[in-house]
Amino acid sequence: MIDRSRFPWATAALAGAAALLMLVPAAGPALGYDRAAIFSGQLWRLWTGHFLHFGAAHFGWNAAVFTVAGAWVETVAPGRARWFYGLAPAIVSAVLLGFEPALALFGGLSGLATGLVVLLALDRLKAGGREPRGVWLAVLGLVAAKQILEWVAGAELFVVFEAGVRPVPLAHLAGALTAVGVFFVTQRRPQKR
Amino acid sequence: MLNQRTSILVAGLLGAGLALSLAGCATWGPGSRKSEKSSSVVDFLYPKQAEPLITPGVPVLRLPLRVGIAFVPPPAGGRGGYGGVEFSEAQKSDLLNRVAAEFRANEFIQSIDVIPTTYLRPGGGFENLDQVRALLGLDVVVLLAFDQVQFTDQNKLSLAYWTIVGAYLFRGNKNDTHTLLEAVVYDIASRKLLFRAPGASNISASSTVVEVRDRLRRDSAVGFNEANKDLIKNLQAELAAFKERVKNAPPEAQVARIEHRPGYKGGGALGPGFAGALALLGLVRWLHRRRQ
Repeated sequence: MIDRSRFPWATAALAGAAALLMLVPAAGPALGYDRAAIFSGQLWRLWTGHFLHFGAAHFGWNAAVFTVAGAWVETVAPGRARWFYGLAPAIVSAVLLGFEPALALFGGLSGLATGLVVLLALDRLKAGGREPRGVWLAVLGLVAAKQILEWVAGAELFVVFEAGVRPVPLAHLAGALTAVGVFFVTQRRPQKR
Repeated sequence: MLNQRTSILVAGLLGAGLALSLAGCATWGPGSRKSEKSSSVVDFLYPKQAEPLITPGVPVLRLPLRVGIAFVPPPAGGRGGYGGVEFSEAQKSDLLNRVAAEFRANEFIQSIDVIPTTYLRPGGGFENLDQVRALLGLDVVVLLAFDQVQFTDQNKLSLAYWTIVGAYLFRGNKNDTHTLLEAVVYDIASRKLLFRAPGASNISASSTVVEVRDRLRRDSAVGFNEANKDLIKNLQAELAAFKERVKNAPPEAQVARIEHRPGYKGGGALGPGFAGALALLGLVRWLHRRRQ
């Protein structure tokens, strides 16, 4: 029996939307992150662009991390998760608009998924109790190491995941920083558990 | 005594000279021939210079790259081929297309265009490449040169082929077909050699006098095919090594600067490594809580 009050509805809906967009690629032109279209006033793309992907492999790994981390965060801290879902897509897109002027098209849940992983680790560290601190610190270390590898070692330069598409590490950084912001903002108010 | 020694010395010298002249006849006479067809990157890029110039500076590679590929034309009135089997334009085009097909799938390559032979002049150098660059909108050019020698008799000829980095030597035997392909990859704007790779083939064969020409024609085609396969393999290895050099070079010794062309398509990607590491940490957490 599913406890409906604890079911991660928001995560399920967003992951389902990303899966649906994979099945209906015709929706891409109207919903994707398109720099020129956003500047012409189509602001919904700031939110919807993350849910489009450039291929099955691109979608598969992003959606797997997004769904698991998102469902977990939403189960243990639903308020935090929903704040994040509301703010993070627009913040990540705005950062890309501001700092990646050459980026014409963007797609992928990885910025949001990275943020959810960070939010989950911070929440669990804060929760304490039976949670193993070392594991959650290792999760944060893993995210940081990936980010450093992408930025400093230039590992993103020739990464292959789809022909003609290059990874954008800035999206991961923006997602992680948004998660840190959401964590501290929501810390001041009592969490709905 | 001295006169006798002088006579012996003179006789010896005469004998040696006669032997050498006879050897020369044997080498170049109708019974033992070699045919050669070749082109050279050095001759094309540096037609008036004895030593290739090394251009300082760091090339800027704007991804995805637009690449052109071509055989350099043989020098005017030079080693364009004589006495042997011709290396046809159709064969060249086929080899170029095969090389292009192997590298077209790389995500940092936007396009690979085969440059028509007529666009390159013998000894055209970088001025000629600048024209082609403007005409086709290229960033990087892959220049291929070839040298094929076919020996039709036992001899001790060797061929020294002057590649972009030095001499390449091979020795000839009866009905041998030696083929060498060389590919050099240049950033046209900076005139910088990014990397190079060779491809070689050696076919040993024998045949009757009647069928020797057919045999040589077949061996010539097979030689180019095999050398091309070897070249593709070596180019892939050199490309991988070049990418490592670009990534790992310290800032003061940059191999190339990587930029991205405006209007590129980007995606956020996590990948199996990151997801797997997270899953492993999740498993550790589960085991830890289970023990408690």
